[in-house]
Amino acid sequence: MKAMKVVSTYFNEPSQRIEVVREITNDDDTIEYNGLSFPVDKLEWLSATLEVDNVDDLIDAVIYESMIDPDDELQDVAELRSKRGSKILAIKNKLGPMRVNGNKANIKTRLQSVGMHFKYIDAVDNDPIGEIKKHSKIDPDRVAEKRELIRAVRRGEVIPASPSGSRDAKNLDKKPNRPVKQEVKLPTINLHGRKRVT
Amino acid sequence: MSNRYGTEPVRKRGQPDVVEYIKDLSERLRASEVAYRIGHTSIEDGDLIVLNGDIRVKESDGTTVLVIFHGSTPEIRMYPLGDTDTHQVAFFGFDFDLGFGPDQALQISVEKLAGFVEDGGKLLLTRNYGILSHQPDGGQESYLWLNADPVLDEIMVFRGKMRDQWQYDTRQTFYAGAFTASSGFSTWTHTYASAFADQVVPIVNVLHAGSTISWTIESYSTSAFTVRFSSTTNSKVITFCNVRVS
Repeated sequence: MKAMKVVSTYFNEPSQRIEVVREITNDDDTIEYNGLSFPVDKLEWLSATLEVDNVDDLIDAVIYESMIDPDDELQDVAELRSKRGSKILAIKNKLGPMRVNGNKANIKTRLQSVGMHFKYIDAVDNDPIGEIKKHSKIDPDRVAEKRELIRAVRRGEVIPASPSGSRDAKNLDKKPNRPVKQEVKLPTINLHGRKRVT
Repeated sequence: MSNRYGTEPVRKRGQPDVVEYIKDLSERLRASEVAYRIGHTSIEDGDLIVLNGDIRVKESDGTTVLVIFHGSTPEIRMYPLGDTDTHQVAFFGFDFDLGFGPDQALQISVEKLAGFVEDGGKLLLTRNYGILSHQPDGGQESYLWLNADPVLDEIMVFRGKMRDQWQYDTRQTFYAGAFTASSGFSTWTHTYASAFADQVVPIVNVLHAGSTISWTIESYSTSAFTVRFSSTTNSKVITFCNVRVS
């Protein structure tokens, strides 16, 4: 692979996934197209995992993620960020800028030549990077929640939302507050022919 | 004449039998003490009551939190939110006879107070099979049923479904779904929301109407998988059920 450009972004609303058309220039100069699909909260998860807030850096991370060797994402965050940053920088330097500088009509013509679906061709008119930002809708509060969750996992803590984490989550060493007793009404039912007591 | 404790103290005019007196007093004390301890006693700041063969444990404010019922369907009921809440935790043994003879069973379930209607998680262990279930009142039950066939060993039945292209956890076992890759693409890369904790093996199929094409999984990792098609014409439906392995 000699070069890669992001030429079009389409928001697939039913599946809540963002679909990016990547134009790949192969080593033999042939051109082909890759569809990259990721969920709308992907940038939030990347922000939480890498502890990076810069949206452009996050977009780099998602666009190049499938082109680099994966890392253990639960390692020390500074180490992870350093490793991931180096890999992304290396692939960016190799493949060139992801943005297309040039006539969008030429891009559309190339897409039409391979029979690309019109929804991706129409989307060329929009800024593909801007569309990723628009539909990702990064929410700082949600990122903060995700970041705390990942930090807890990194620390090896039991996650409250997990099925096995309820006792820790409720901090059951403390006595729970219970409503004041009002009335006891215990009904009866026939259970497979056997009456349970009341 | 016996007194209420069944003892017969010997009384002599002017000189009671000291030994018998002490014996009687001792038995009275013992009976009284035992009755007090079992019948209504303090457990730290709570209360334990034995009534008609059932044992009831209360908090100091009178809230019942635990009842053990006697009888042929022995049962423990717990009220983590108090016995005035809408639901209870039931833990009981019973004879679950489905026509194959007596079938000893233990069930642990969350259920409504009203009508004992199951409304939550359930564990049902019987002599013939085991079920781990969630049974919402008015909703569909999902379960894992072990040894589900009465005449064939080792049969497992799963009831439920997986959410399409949805990642709940980086350690979930299966990740399944289907999507369409429109015409024009040589490859399609499907990225997970967050990288899985271990390798995820993509089990993929490609549906292509009209003509035969070849395709392959070009690459996969903990964060994505990429499918390559031999033809860019027509759209393809990619179905997958990926498994996390170690």
